[in-house]
Amino acid sequence: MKLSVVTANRLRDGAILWLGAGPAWREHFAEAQPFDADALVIALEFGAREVALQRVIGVYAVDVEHNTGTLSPLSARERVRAHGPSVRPDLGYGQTHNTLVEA
Amino acid sequence: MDGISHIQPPAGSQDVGIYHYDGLDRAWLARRVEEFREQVQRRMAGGLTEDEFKPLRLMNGLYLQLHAYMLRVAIPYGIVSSTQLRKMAHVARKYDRDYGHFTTRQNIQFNWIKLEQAPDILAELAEVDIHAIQTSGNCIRNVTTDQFAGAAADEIIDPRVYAEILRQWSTDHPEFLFLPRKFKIALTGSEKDRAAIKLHDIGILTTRNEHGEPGFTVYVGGGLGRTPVIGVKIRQWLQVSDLLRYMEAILRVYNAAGRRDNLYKARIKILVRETGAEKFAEQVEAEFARLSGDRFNLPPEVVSAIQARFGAPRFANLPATSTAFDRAMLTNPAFAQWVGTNTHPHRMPGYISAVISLKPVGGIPGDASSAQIDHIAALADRYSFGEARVAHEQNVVLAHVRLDDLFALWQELQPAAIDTPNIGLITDIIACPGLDYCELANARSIPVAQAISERFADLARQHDIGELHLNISGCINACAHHHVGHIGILGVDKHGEEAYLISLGGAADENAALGQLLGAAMPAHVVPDVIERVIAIYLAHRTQGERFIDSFRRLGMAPFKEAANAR
Ligand code: SF4
Repeated sequence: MKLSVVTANRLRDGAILWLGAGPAWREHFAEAQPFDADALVIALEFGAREVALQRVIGVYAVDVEHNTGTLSPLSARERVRAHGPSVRPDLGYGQTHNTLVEA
Repeated sequence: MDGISHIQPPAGSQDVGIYHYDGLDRAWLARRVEEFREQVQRRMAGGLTEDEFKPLRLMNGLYLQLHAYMLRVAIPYGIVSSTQLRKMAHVARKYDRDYGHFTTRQNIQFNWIKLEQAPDILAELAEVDIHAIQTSGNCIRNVTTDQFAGAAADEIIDPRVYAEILRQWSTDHPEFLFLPRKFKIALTGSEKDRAAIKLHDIGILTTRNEHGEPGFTVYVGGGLGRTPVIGVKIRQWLQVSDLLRYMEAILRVYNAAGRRDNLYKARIKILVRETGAEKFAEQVEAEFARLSGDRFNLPPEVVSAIQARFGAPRFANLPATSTAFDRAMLTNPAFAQWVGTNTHPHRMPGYISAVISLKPVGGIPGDASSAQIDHIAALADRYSFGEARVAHEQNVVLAHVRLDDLFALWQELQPAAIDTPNIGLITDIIACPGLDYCELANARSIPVAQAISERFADLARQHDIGELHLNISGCINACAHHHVGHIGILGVDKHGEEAYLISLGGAADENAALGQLLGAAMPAHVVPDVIERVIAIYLAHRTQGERFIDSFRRLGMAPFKEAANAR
């Protein structure tokens, strides 16, 4: 089954966000919630409302797969967004700002 | 405007060789910061949509990149005072993640900026007379020049002065803020092109006429990206006083006729190609003739007035040679090796320019930590009249170092790991941020640069290979100028995977040339092996003193291709 997560950037600081349970935006990719095709439609609608409320920008879906028990984005681009620059993994949001935040 | 009178001149000596702002400049800049602050507040309060706000933030150098907002700060023609460097280090430390990235446009980028803090950052930068205006958008961008400006032994004119004149002319120019596409001008102060001028929308080469008077040769329509083009000469000789009039004429022709219907055909290079260089030159000449000589004339007194606003280092009268330097060269081979690659002759006896490498083995090309930037600022104060330059090769230059002091300077580079003796060698790699940071990237550039750097880490081997320019871009936008690297590497997307195309034979100097493709795209892990095989062919076939690029021109692509494909 095709799985996706929903991502955006927070307006006020540009931080990468992943839509987690709640629904609530999380900075840590590990807390992103996977959606099947039907659930994704609803998640993206939530994202669009968040854009209208000027909390986040650039909401879109990211295809993911289960990889040895954890979720991983399919594309290199989204893996870099999820885990930080491959050349400075210490700087990724999941590493240095592993906090649960409200958008 | 209220609140301007408290603004003080930046700390630092007026001798520093940057253009010194006056009260008017500072008032203008303060107004721009406050205008942006208000725009950010409206955005955060929901008064502006992203579509409305995006062009406004871009006008202030603020992009949304892969991880966060990215702020691109202009370093006019690459020259920066130690005070300004310290402010950049402060911004990196306080508002970013403790480092900055020096770019091929002689700017600095901060990768982890918060929108809500951007106005405060710009206000802090304005305290030292720097800003991010016109570092983005379809306007005339930061004018770039030779990193040895005002210092080089072969200099005919000081290009800083003319770059500053162009900066003032192009900043907030009412006609040229909404051009068909971005517009880049490069200028070099000698007949040796150290500013890659033929790769710019306008390239200006300083030369002398038969009477020995200085003037300019003008090229247009250069550029890389999707359609790489070497600029064509449209004026062999332009007298200095006509510089602005001629620039205005080129821009007017482009602004009127450049294509706005197709993003990929909007650069001046396409207009020049579609019009034909000769006809384009005629159109420029016609516009030039129409423009009032009075209004656009650049009289010597204006040039002198701008020149006077630059600090002038108080050079001492020194002998051309230095016993201390000679002794260190004889007794310390590591120093002698560094001098061999990392220095450049100075126009003043007893002085030399030193290039600080931001390319340690396995490092990230062009990145510098705030501690390193602070360290460079301190060295600039101690050894180079408080100023430094950012080279388009992503290194930093201390332009005016006493020969007597060079050994001491070199010793002080070591603790900050900025003493790599590799300028112009295979590990002095120009690399863009690529997919590790850039929203537009297809593939990562930095890890490939690191792998090649580590593969060729052995200094004796690098020095044996000699001059070789290797450039890596993460997409066809070619920010790292891969088309004109002796070896160029382009990251592409091959069925969803990162892959790399290698080209050979490019050059960015006065013999500018575009590289030719070596073969099909390959995965990252193969790239260092292929480079190794290409280098082996060069080493096997080179003649005495022949550089890689010379051998390539003599031998052609065939032997390199054969070696690269031999798995
Ligand atoms: S070349 Fe492409 S990937 Fe590299 S910085 Fe430019 S736009 Fe980004």
